[in-house]
Amino acid sequence: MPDSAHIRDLDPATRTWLRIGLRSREPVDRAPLRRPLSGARVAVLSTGGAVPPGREPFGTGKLGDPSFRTLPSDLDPARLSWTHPHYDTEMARRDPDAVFPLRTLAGLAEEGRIGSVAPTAYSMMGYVPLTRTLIRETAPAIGEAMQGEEVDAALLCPA
Amino acid sequence: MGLVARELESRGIATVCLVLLREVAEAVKPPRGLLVPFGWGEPLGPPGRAELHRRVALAALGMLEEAGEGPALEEMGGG
Repeated sequence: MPDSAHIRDLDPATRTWLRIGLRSREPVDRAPLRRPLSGARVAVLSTGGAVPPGREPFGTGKLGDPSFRTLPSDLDPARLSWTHPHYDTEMARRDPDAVFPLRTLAGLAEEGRIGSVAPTAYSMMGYVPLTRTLIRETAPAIGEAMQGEEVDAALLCPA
Repeated sequence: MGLVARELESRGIATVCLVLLREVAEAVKPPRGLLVPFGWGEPLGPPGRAELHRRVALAALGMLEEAGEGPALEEMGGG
């Protein structure tokens, strides 16, 4: 069985961030899926730090980076570069689907298990110790973009 | 990531988050979370395990069709 992720394996700065960021939040109600999964348009978001060709890499300093990148969901994953300071991105280079399952979702659409993959996919670098910009700007911008493509559901993948 | 999920849900987009750390999910309370037994950087499973990636994605997406209110956290076995 593969090894599980543990806080103890993280560097001290990230452990500190998790202790601070892990303050409990009020639960929210689940939005119901508007149509059967077999007819739903599904978007993918990964916080693995994938950077599409020609785009600026994510910042990897102590303050993290709350920005996001968009890319076509059918982009050849081999064209992605990866910037993330807190995991071994060599794994993502070897097999992007381990952290950003674009080909996996395309396969599920071909099988008819989901209706379609949204044309746009979303990439972030998951180290965001300062959440103000994430909450006030990044998340609403992603939501607006997904609504513009009439997305029904989103699969969010950490790193 | 859970904070993005909460925003999307508020806009009527159903979300499911893969989760690597139970502590994170229990605090942030993403609307739907699937706890997976994998390491950092491989939430779908290790590189090269396409069938495992497919099963993880299907398990997560399957949570979208489950009715209910409030946060849901399920756990996926190894494999």
